[in-house]
Amino acid sequence: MRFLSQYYQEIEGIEIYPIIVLLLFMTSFFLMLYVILRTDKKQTDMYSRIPLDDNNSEFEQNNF
Amino acid sequence: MEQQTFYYDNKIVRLFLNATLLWGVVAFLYGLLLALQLAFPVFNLGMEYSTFGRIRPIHTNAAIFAFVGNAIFAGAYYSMQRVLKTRMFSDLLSKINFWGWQLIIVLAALTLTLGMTTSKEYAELEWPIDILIAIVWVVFGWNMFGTIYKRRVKHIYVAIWFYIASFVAVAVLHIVNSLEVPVTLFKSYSVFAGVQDGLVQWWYGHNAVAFFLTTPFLGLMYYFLPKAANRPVFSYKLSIIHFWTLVFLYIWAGPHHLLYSSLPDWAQTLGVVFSVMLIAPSWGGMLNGLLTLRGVWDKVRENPILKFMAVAVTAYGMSTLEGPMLSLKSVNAISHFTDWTIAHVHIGAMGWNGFLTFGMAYWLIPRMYDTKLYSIKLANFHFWLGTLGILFYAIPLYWAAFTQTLMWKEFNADGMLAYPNFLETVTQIMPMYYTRIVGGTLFLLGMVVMLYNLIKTAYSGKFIAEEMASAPAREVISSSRVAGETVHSWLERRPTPFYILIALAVLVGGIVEIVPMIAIKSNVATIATVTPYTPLELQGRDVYISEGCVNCHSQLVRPFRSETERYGEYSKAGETVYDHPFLFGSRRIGPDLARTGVVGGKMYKNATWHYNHLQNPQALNAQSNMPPYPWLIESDVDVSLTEAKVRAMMSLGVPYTEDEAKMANDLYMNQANLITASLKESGINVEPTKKIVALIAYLHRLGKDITMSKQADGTTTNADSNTDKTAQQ
Repeated sequence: MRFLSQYYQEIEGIEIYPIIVLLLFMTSFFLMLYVILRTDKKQTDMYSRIPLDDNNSEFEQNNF
Repeated sequence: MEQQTFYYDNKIVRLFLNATLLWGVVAFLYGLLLALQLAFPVFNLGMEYSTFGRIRPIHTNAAIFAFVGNAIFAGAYYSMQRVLKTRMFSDLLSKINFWGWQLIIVLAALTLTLGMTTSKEYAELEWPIDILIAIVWVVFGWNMFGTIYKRRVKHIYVAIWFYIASFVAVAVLHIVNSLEVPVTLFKSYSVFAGVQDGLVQWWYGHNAVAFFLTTPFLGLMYYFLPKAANRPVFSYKLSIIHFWTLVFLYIWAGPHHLLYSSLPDWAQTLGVVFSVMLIAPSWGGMLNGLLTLRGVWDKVRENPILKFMAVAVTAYGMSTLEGPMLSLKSVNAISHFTDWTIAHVHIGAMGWNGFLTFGMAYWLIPRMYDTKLYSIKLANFHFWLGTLGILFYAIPLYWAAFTQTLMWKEFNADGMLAYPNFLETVTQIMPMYYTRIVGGTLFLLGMVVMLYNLIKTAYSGKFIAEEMASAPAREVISSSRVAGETVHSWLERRPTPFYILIALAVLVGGIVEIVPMIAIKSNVATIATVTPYTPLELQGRDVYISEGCVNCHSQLVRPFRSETERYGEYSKAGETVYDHPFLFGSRRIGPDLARTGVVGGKMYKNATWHYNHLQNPQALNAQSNMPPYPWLIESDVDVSLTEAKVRAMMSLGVPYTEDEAKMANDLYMNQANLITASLKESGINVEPTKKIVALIAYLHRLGKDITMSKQADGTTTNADSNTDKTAQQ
């Protein structure tokens, strides 16, 4: 597959791509993790009940 | 806060649900027909409109865009109104969305039947329909965003995030992959060529699975599973983490469809790494779904809706573990081009999409008709028919895949291929193909049972078109962050920056992958002896595309000894620089055709053989499952388009001269006359304008270029392909 390596040479600085990608992903992932873990559990528990909170329609019932 | 009364629109949900069920039957019927055709060629029915090559894209498009697509709209329109506590933004947009989508499906079925196709998998539709899809998709987005802006709640529930990500990603994928130059109203050429086209196509193809079959269904799971189980989501934090990780990672995984192809190694590796990383968010979603059922597993035993959903989520987990495994190069070397891929996608399509849709339909119909389900027993019966259907479908195909790949790769003690005749490997797996028919039939029967049950349910109740609800008006809060509010909470109530972030997360992968590939000038990889197709070969290539040959025959010899021994020299990027679109294929139901033009090569057959074989494959090989193509002898190529096709190619940078364009039909006839003369020597009289002549010319061109070497005076001669400079690098 050495033939394919010519593609690498045609793109200047190609070797930096995977590193940028990895850094980008890791940074955003840990940032997101930090933000989410900081979120108040009471609040997320309330959010998780949203689908169950629409039982105010006129006919909602357990049909099973 | 003032309590407001409003009405949910159930009419649009019912319309989409009815369409889901109708197109579901059509998709499954077409699937069953394909299974029959593979086992018994007589089911090709002797017509060009019903051959495997044309039926296969109708089945995939019907399953993905008609069955699953309508299910997405049905579930999204129902859940969005409820979690946002408002009616949809516009009833008119809802109707345009519905009728526009159905029009697209009908046009798709018609054009694909007539052989009007781009040949790019799951993107086969021609350019006017592509434009229509873009318009209808924007209408859906407009309606969704309008609904989000007029919501009565502060927080946007996680299901809606998945819908937003799906909307953004599908819009981008569809537009980029559908960039094409029209020749006529129903014929166009992809603006990308060869490996670039392959990368763009599989960036699209893989993400059609990601953002059409997965993310919207995760949205549905996050709404309907808690509703059916009457339990909140196991972990909302996990849902957020797996949302962001999933939308960021998914878009990178496309190149795993092109492993061992002539796609650059860096792109292949990127696809593999991100595919493996995808296990984490996918399983995060699956576990979140299954753990939502904690404490109610006793209900799963008696409630068929929960049974369907539990199996759906399990199938999702199995598919998303299997997918990354298949993307490992060593596994892919075995699995690619075999029925393993087909089994894998059907675990996803029948298990994940099918069963979640069935669960959703059983849950929605009794509620919208304010009644109870007609028969729980019948629903349970459907569950077992469906489950057995999946097993009888998938297990034989895994078996078939291992059998066939091992036969392809086996060498005898003398170092020769143990099964040099491709057909031997096909006849060996026929028993598995018969069993697959049983699986498909059971799955279809289950669908019929469900239809009966749901129709009886609907008749026993009264449809509530306008469902009354009430909620307090939304509190108006400052657009900036308030004290104690986290960034994410602030973002969640500010839709616009939220959309932008989702779009960025989705797009960054595509940009990093695609831009370097597009930035490479296509002539960089040009092999000196590779020249554009002659006008006759170009027309022949379009016959090949129109008949859907790519659905059974690959044009990609991978760099394995088992493949170079069977087919010839492995495929190189430079060979396909004028291929608009690429035709690598994804499954070898028949042998690879990349080297059929190499005179003296392993795959070369003369014009007479091709003529006889295309007319009646079974006359040459009684056990062949290839459909006969007698109409290619009767039908004419539309030569009035030859010049326009050459000029369209010129506009894409294919180096035809002005004279070649002007004399396109003269060149066409000159070459065609040579083929008809050679056929005449075997006693076959055929006119030069017939499709079969163009197709033979194209088949005789494949792989020919790299066997030529350029002389100093510019002429070309035959040469051993190993002397090709490119191959030596």
